[in-house]
Amino acid sequence: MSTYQLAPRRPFNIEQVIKILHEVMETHLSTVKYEPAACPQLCAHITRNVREKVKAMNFDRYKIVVTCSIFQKENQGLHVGLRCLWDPQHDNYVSESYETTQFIALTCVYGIYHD
Amino acid sequence: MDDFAEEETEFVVEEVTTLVKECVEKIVGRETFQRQKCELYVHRIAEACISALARLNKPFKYIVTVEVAQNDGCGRHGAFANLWDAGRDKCCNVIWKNDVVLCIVTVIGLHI
Repeated sequence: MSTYQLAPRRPFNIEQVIKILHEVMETHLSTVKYEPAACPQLCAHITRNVREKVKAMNFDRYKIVVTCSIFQKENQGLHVGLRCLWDPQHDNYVSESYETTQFIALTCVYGIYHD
Repeated sequence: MDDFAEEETEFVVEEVTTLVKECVEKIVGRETFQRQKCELYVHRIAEACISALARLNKPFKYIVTVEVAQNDGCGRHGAFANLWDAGRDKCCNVIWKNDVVLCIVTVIGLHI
């Protein structure tokens, strides 16, 4: 059934989502040492945690995608980039990195409005 | 007739994977790792992938993330969690590497 709604009633709020990212990454990563066996589960915990907290913010008709990557620091070069084909008026993303002496964690949250 | 129409509106992972590999091959190809060119590779690969995906003319919004790193055996782990349409929205991860360069492209397709 069409609602004739042209825009979200509660748009994706970057400041609120950044706070969530910061809090979740601080909680999960501040006391962690790099362990290859434990990393996949750690990434999964972080993404699920962030997704639940962003879902609780009730952004109206938004699809949420959360990605988390952990890179071991071995003096290698690393570059990360992003391109999107979306609606710049309603869609947005937030990313936050957390760095220790052993690893860098990068988490991104994408909020995509679904008409 | 129905299958043909369905494929035009579906995110076909194999098709996207082939497309991304072609883009990366064309841009990075047989080059050796050069730190100063990394950023350029990232931008070019992302632009090329997005343009190629747009030419597919499918009703999707796309997010393309590109990671280019030196292939020296260091660890990289990833995960993702989504709140989306499980039937139509898809993600595909393409890993391309040669002796010195490791390139990971993630394409997320969200049906509109």
